[in-house]
Amino acid sequence: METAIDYLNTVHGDLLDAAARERARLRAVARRRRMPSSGLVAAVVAVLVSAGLIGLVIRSGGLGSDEAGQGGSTGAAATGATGGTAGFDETPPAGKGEPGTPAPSHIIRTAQIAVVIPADAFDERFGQAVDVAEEHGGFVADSRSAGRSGSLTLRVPARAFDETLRALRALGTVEVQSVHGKDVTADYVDLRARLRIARARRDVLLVLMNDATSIEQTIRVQNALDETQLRIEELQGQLRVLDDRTSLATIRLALREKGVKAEAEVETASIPNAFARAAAGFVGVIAAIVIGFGYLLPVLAIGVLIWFVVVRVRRERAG
Amino acid sequence: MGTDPDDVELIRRSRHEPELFGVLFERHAEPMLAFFARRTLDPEAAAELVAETFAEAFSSRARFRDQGVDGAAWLFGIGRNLLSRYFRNGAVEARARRRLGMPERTVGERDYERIEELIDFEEVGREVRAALSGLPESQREAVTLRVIDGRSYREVAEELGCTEVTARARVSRSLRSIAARLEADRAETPIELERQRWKRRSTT
Repeated sequence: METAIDYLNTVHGDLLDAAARERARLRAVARRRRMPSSGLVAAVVAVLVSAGLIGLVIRSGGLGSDEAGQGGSTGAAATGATGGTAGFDETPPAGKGEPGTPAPSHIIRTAQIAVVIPADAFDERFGQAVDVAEEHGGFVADSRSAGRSGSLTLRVPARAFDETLRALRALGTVEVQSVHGKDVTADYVDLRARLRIARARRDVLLVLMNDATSIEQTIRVQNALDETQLRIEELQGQLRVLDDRTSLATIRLALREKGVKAEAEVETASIPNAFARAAAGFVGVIAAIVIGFGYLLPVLAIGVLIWFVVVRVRRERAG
Repeated sequence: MGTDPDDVELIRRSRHEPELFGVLFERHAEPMLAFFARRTLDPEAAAELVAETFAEAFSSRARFRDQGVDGAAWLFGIGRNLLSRYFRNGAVEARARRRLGMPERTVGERDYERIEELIDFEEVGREVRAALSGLPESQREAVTLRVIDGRSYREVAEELGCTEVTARARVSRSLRSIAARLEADRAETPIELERQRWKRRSTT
């Protein structure tokens, strides 16, 4: 500023200083304003997406889903069993405990596994899957095949469950795998206790039956006896079912050749089906996000903490 | 100078580029100082009014609307408001400067005389003489010595037998009351006239 008046020169400088402060303030405001519009939205989207991805990965049975690798054919295992309706073995294997025999723990084990196999290997691998079940003392309970993909429901002794699963994984590249175990020991113990009581009751009733002197008495005891007998059979049936499901694990195997659509999509398209799948998908995605959040939360907490510290330090430095 | 059409543009752009306000100051501070000096007849008040006007204008630059009013008219409008408040309160406000963190500066010895030169005492002399009669004896004497006789403050002080500071205070107080009286009588001078007067001064 070119003026002879010092006062004006000084004030000019003061005004420029104020302008510089204003400039810094504007920049800070702009930064703060820009954040919610794009930065925050991007951050939220990123968190949701990563939560979903983490959830999906975790739900589909861990990160190492293709650890088994390819080429799991064990040479000689490829026997003549071909085609979709490969040999059914309807007879459950022996070694099944008498209902009521004490067992350390009773767990219903189920697994679902989807395996992608090399092109043109469907028939061969399907047969191998059946062989695997039989080798481990199991059998095929259900099977379905359509072209170059299909599914098998295998029942194998519980103790051979892990081994069978490992052998099935070796058939190709594992796409999806989930293993569930449900401990029904408490149900088992309960059923056995009730069975014992019912049997004791029957014994008592039999004694009463012998002692009955009148027709009326006999009929009443007979009714009670019938009832108890029925109850005993029911309980035995339930125990047998439980026993079957715990001693024999269930493995649902889906096989498809590389490049073939997943078996689920082969099933007939219908509106109820579509709705059901849409609902399942919706729930699945939400579930995946929720699961992922659980994993992300600690990371986010640390991130927010660091962010706060950085902002505080910056503000202190600026102030 | 002054009528530059870029003033409006400058004010608008200064919203996001605050330092551009410095250019406005370079353009208009001195004419504005002359304007205030003639109105207040007080160098200190005039200088402070300039500073406060620019501070106030800077603070409210976001509220500037381009409605055919040129930038200088907007600035002088703010100045006029502050001027009338100065006449009412007898003191220049410092609110806008405080808000911006601008320190209050004092007018130096050299500036004092230079700003008085801007007042163009001859022009206001006639009006002042008319207003002088209404002043108390001591003030009238001080103003007469300083303004009509054109004596320095040291001489005025010697003549009146007081300190230089007292002499200046007396002159300033009496000039302020004269100015207030003149302001009340005087019709508002159009901005354009102010500017032309400034131009005339700066070219001669």
